[in-house]
Amino acid sequence: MADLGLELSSPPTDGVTSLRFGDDSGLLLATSWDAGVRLYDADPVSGSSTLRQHFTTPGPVFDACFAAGGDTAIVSGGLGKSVVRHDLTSGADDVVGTHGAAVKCVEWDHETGLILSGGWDGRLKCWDARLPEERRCIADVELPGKVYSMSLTGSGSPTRRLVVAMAGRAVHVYTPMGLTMSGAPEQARESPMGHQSRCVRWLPDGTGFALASVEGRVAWEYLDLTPAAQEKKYAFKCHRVRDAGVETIHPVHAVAFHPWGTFATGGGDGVVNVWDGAHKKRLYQYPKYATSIAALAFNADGDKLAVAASYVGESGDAPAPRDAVYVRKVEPGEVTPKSGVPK
Amino acid sequence: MGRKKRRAELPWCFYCDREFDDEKILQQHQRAKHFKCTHDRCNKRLMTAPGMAIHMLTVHKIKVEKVPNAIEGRDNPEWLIEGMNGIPEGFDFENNRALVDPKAENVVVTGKRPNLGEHAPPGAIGGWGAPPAVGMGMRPMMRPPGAMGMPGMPPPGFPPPMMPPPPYGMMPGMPGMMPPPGMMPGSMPGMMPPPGVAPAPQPQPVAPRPEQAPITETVMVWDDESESIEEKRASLSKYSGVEGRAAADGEGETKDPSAEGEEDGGDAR
Repeated sequence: MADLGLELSSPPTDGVTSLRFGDDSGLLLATSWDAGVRLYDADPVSGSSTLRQHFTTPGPVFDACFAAGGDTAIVSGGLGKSVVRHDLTSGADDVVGTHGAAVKCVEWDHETGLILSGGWDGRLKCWDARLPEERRCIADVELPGKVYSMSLTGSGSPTRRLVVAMAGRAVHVYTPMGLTMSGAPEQARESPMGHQSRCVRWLPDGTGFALASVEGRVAWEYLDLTPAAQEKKYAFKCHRVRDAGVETIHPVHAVAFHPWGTFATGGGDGVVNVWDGAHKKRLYQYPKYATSIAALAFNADGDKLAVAASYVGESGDAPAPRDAVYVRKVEPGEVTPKSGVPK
Repeated sequence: MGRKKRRAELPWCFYCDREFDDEKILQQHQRAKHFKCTHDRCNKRLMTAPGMAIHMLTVHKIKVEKVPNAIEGRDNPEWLIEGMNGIPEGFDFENNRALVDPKAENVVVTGKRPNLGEHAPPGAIGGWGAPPAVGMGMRPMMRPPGAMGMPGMPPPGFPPPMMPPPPYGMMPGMPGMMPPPGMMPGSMPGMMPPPGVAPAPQPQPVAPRPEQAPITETVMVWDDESESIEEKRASLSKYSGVEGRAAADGEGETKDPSAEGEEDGGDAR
C-alpha cells in the first residue's frame, strides 16, 4: 500500500473545494460541496486527526481562509453568493456581504484586515468586516470575466498583491492601494496558455506566480515586466497520462507553494508532483491517489502537505471514490530546491 | 602535405586534433569537450555541434559562434561532424580553413546523412558518397555510408533534427519517479512559445512525437472553455435546491461575449 499520508477522520462528504493551513494555529481548513467549512487538527507524525469545528453555510462552499490574527476567525464563500465570517471563539456566523453570483474565492489581508472576494458575477470586492454593514464594501471592481482563482501574496513577500485568474484567460494583478482607490489593476495580462485558467498561486517571495490550466499545463510567470525578466517565463506540460498511444490530458486543479519556493501541482490524474520552478525540474512525485486532486496546501513550516483526493467533476456527474483529505509529512528531500534551502 | 602519417590509423577529433583509440571514445570526447552546452548550470551534452547550437539558442537563448575548445578555423558550429563523420570535404588542415566556402558548400555537403547522398545537389563538391579529394591527406573516410556508426548508435549526422523532440515530448506527466533525460535544467519540456502567440489555436499535443509509443489520439478531460468545472457541477440538480438563483445567474454569465467568444474560436479542433 502506497503511503498516501494520514487520512483525516470525519472528512467532507462531498467534493472538497479548498484546503488551507492556518499560519498561526497550524489548523487545516477544508471547504466542500456539502456546504461544510471544516477545521481539522491533523498530525501525520502521531497519526491523529480531529475535526475541531464544522460550520454549515447556505450552499456548497468554494473557498475559505483564516481572517483574524491567531486564526480566530475564518471567512468563506460559495454558491450561496455570500461572504460569511465565522468566529471560531464564539461560533457565530456573520454575513459580510454578497455577490451577484457564487463567490469563488476569498482572501484575507493580514496587514490591513481586509477581506477580498471574487465571484462568478465577474466582480472583485473588498470588505472591512469591522465597519457597519452599509459601509463594509470598500471596493467593488468589475472584472473582464468570472473569477476562477485568486491568490494573495504571503508574508514572505515584501509587497502585498492579489492575482486573479478569470474566465476568458484574463489575469489581473492588483495592489491593495490600486484596488481600494481606483479599482484599476496594476497589470492586466492574458494567460500564456491556450486554455481556461484553473488555479493561480504566488511564489512565496511575490516575484511571480504559477498559473495552471485545464489542459495539463502550468505557466511560470514573472511580475516584473522588463524584457529580461519576461524572457525567463515558461510553461510546461504535466498531468498527462499516456496509454497505448492515447494521451489523456487532465486539468491541473491545484497549485501550492512550499515556503522554500518549490511547488506542488495536483491534477485530475490523481497525481501530486513537486517542482522546482526556478530550475525547471520535477523534484518528486507522490504515489497516485484514487481520484482527482482537488486541492493542495502546505503549512507555514512546510513540513505538512494536505492533499484532497476528491473527484472534482471534470468527467461529468460520474460515480467516484469517496472524498478524502490526506495530510502528508513532507521530507526535505521532496521539496528542497536545487539551489538549496533559502535563508 | 597532408596530415601526419600516424593519423592514418586512429580516429581523431576534427576539432582539436586529438587521437583516440576508437571512435566511441572519440564521440564521448566530442560530446564532453566540444558539444557540451556552455551554460553554467546546464552542461547538457549534445550529439553534434549544430545540435548544441540549437539547444543553446532555443533553451538558453545563447548564440553559439564557435565550437568550444576547437582549433581556430575548425570551430564552425554549423558543421555537422560526429566522430570521424562529416569532416568538411577539402578542408585545409595546414591552414585550418575550409577550401570551399564553408557557408555555402560544405555545410550543405556535410549536413547530409550519408545515405541521403543521392539527394545532394548534383554539383555539390565531395559529399558523403564521393571519393576523397586526392592529396588532401584526408582520413580514410570514404567508408560506406553510415558504416562508421556503431550498431547501437543513431545514424551519424541524424541527431540534430532528432534531439529536440524527445525531451519536449517526454514529460513529467509520465510515470516514473526519475526525471526523464529531457528534464535537464535547460531543456524544459513542454516549453511554450513566447506569450505573444498565446491565443494560438490548439497547441502542440496533437503533434506526433518520435517516441516509443507515438500519440495517436489526445483526449482532453475538460475542454469546455465556456464554463468552469465548478459551474458545470453547480448546475446539477442535486445542488439546485441549494442555490437555484446562482445557477440562473450563471446562465446569464456564460453569454458574456468578451470572456467566451474568442475562446470558442481559438479552440476549434
